[in-house]
Amino acid sequence: MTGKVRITRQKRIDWAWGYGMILPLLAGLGLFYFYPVFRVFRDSLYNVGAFNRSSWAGLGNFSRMFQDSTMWRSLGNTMMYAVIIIPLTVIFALILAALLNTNIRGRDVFRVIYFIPTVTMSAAISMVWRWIFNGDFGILNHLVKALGGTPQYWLSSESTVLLCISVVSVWMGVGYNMIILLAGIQGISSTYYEAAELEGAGKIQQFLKITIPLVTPTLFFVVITTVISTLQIFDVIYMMIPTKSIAMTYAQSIVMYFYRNAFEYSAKGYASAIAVLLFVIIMLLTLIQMWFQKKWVHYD
Amino acid sequence: MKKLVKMLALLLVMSMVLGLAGTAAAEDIEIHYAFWHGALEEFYNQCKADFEAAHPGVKIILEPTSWDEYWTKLENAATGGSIADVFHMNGVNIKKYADGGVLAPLDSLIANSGIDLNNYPAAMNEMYNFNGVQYGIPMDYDTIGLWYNKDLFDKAQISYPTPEWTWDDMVAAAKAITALGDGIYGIAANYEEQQGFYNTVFACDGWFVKDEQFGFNDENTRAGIKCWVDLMEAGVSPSEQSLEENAAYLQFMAGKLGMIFSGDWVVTEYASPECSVSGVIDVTELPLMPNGKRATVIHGKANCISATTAHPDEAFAWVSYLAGAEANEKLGPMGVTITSYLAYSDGFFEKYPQYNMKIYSKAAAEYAYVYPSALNTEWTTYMWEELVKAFSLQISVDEACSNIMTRLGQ
Repeated sequence: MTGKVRITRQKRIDWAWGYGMILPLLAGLGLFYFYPVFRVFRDSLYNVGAFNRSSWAGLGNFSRMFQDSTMWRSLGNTMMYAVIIIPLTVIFALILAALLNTNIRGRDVFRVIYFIPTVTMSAAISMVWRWIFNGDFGILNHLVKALGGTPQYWLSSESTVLLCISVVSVWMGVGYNMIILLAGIQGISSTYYEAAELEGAGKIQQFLKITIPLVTPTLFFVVITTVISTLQIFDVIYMMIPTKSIAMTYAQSIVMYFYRNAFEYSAKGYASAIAVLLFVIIMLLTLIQMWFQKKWVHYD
Repeated sequence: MKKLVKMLALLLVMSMVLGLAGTAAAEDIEIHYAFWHGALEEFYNQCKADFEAAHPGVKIILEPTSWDEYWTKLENAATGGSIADVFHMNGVNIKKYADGGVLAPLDSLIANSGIDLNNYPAAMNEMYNFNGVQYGIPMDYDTIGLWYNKDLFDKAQISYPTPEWTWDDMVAAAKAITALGDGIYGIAANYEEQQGFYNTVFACDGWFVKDEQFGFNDENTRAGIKCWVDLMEAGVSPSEQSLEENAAYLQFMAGKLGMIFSGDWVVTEYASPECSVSGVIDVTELPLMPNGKRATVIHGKANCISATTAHPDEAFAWVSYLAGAEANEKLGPMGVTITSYLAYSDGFFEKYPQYNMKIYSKAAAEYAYVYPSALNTEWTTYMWEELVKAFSLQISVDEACSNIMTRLGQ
C-alpha cells in the first residue's frame, strides 16, 4: 500500500515537471493555434462584422457560400492550381533529386541553386517575376517578340494569369521537395544498384525499377504536403496580382477569397465558413491519400 | 511543486504591485494619439512640445503606425477596447466607425470652444458628419487637377490646356498627341476612382451613394463614366491592362502620356529627380463637362476622439490645438500636406512654385464634392469588378452599371 502511494507521488512530480516544461510551448500553441482554430469554427456560425459585433447565423454562412458564384469560381481556380502545380512540382523535384544524386561536376553548386527559391522571401520572388511577366517592359515579351510571337499582358489576361502563377509556384516549390527526396534517395542501399548493374540494367531502368519504388515513402510525404500547400496557395497571388486587377477573378484562390472577405469586407463570419470548407476538403483529400497509399507506397 | 506554486504566486503579486506603482507614479494625464502619416511625425513632435508647455499635467503619447497596418491595428484596438484617445480617420472608414459607436460626438465640445468649422472646406466637414453629428475635425485635404506634358503639346503643335477647356477640347488634344505615335498616348483613361471618374460623375450631376442607396441607374452617373470609356474606345489611352501593369503616373513620368488626372500628393513624385519630365509639366483645373460644370472629389484626414476615452476634455484640447491657427501656421510651410485650415493651405503649394498648384485650393473652395462612402463597403468591390470590364471594353457601361445594381440588390 505504502509503496503504491510513493510511486504515484513520484509520478505526480514527474508529470508536474513534464507539463511544466511543455507549458510555455503549449501556452503559445493554445493561444496562437488551438484558440484561433476553435474561433474559426465558432465564427462560421455567426455573422461577424466590423469591431467583432456578432449575431447568431446558424448555417446561414454556409447556405450563402453554396450560392456564391465567386466562391465556386475561386474553388475551381484552386483545383486548377492543384491539377497543374502538384504533378509538375513532384515530377521536377524527383527528376532533379535523382540527377543531383549522381556524381556530376558542380553538384553542390546546383543543389544550392535549386534550393535558393525556398529560402528567398516570396515577396522578393513575386517582385522579380512580376517584372519578367510585365506586358510593356517584361523580358518574357522581349523573348516572345524575338521569336516572332505576339506579346501578351501575362498577368492581366484571364487566359494566362493562372498559368503564370502556377509557373512561379512550381519554381518556388521544387527546391524544398527536391531536398526531401534527395535525402530519401540517399537512404536507398547501394547494394540494390550494384546488383542491378551486374544484371545489366541501365540508368533509366535503375531509376524506374529501384529508385522510384524505394523512395515512395518519402514521395508519399512530399505528395501530401504539396497537396496541402497548393490548396492553400495565397502568397504568390497576393503579391503578384493587385486586388484591383482585371484578372483577379481568374487568379483568385479560395484562401485569397477568404482573406478578402475577412480583411477587406470585414465579413469574418463568412470568411470562417470558407475556411471550414477548405479544412473539410483538405481533410478528405488527405484521408483518401492515406487510404490509397497501401496501393503504391512500399515500406520495405 | 509547492515551491514552484509559491514562486509563481510571488511573481504574480510582484507584477501587480509594480503595475499599481506604475500608474500611481504617473500623475500626468496621458493622451495617446494614433496616426499613420510618417512625414507628419516631425510636425507632431513640435506640436507635442508646444501643447505640453501650454497644458501642464497633460502628456501626449505619439503612436505612429505605417499605412499598411494602421486600419487593422485600429480596428483590433477598437474591438479590444484599447483604442487611442485621439486618432486619424479617413473618408472610407468614417461611417463604419461612427456607426460602430467607436467615435465620440463632437458637436457640444465644438460649440463650447473657439473652433469655427467655417475655416475648413464645407465638403470636408460634411465627410465627417454622420447622421447629423460631427465626429471629426478635418486636418488636411486632397483634390484633383489635370497635369500635362508641354513637350508633347509642342510636338503635336497644339496649345496648352486652360481653365476654360471643355472635355471635348481635352479629347481633341488627346487625339493629336496620340497621333505622334512611338508608343505615346494622349491621356490615361483607365479605371481610377479618386483620380478618375469620381470627378466627372459629380461634374455630370451624377451620384454614388445617398443613405445606402446607390446611383448607378442614374443617366448622369453613367454619362460621367462613359466619357472615360469613350477615350479607351478612341484608342487615345494605353489599354486598361497596360495601365494596370505599369501605373499611369509612372507612364506620365516616363514621358509616355500627354495628360493625366492627378491628386496634389503626386506632386512629390512629379517634382522628384526620378521624374524625367519634371521640367516640362504643369497642372491646371479639370476640364468643364458638356453641361458646363466642373467638379473635383475631395478627400482628407480628420482627427477623431474615442468614445471610450477617460479624458474627453484633454483629448479635445489636443484636437482643437491641432485644428487651430497656431498648429496650422506651422504645418502649412512644412510642405507635407495641404492643411484643411483654408487660411494656411497655400503653404504646401509654395514649396512647388514651378507648378500652378493653387488650382487645388481653388477646387476645394469652389467645386469640391465629398468622397463617396457607405456603410456597406462591398459596393466598391462590385463597382470595380463590373466597371473594369467596361474599361477593358468587354461590356458596355450600361451593362456594367446594371450589373452593379443587381449585385447590390437595388
